[in-house]
Amino acid sequence: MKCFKKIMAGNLTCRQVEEFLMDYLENRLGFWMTLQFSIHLFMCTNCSKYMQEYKNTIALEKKIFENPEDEAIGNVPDDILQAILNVKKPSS
Amino acid sequence: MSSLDDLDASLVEGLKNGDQASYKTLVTTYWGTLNYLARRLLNDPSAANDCVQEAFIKAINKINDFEGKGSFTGWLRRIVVNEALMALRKKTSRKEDSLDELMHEFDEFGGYAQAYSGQPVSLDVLQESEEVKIQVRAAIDKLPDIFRITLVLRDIEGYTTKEVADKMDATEQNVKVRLHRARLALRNLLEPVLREEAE
Repeated sequence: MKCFKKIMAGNLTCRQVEEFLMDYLENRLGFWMTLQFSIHLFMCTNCSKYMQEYKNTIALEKKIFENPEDEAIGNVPDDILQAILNVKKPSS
Repeated sequence: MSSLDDLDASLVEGLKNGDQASYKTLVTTYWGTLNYLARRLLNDPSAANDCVQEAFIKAINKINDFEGKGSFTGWLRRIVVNEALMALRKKTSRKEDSLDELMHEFDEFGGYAQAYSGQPVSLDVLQESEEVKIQVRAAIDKLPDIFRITLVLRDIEGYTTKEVADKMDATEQNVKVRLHRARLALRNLLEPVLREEAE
């Protein structure tokens, strides 16, 4: 049954799909590999959902850097500000 | 030219002239955003403070090297990245550089060891949630140094694979593998919030 599933799922295992997922999403796989991937994703609910979560993860990590003020960094500590104010005029 | 560009141009001019008010403006304007970047790279608030302080001092000392070709913010961020990488090289104790325990388990046939239950939560819903933001930051901070830095430089700072490889003394292939594994680990750490269990 497992072998049948594997053949039906584009002759790739879920482990291989995970391994080459980034290349697939960045269109760096050849024609046949891409085709096998697409078939697998069509047949395998686990992998298609996993891929969606992988894409969501990338979008989320990029998004949280858009609003650094979301994390309470606080004001500049006085000693740091003072150290910077003491820097001499840069030589030209 | 946008007003922000005007502000930066006037700030750069002030820094070149050694104007103390400009020093203060530089620090108060960019402290938050640069410190946030340094915290993600170093995973240590105190080391991040030191890193940003050094970066500001370096920026002032090297201000005449800033030619205004790219954005001023981008120039400052690159200085922070360089300072953070230097600080990490000096670190004596480093987190174990393995992600194995954060990787997915597969059965002997290469299939998922556990069947997938539930549905992925939509990206719109995830992006609206404050709790998710906190969890994403926490998950990034859990990654070992080399994976976290690779992720931040490639995905957030927009460095090319080659640039990251040069900065980290690694091959481009290594960088690609690290990036993919970092993303997978992040996804696995975030699994509880990424998925909505079926009722």
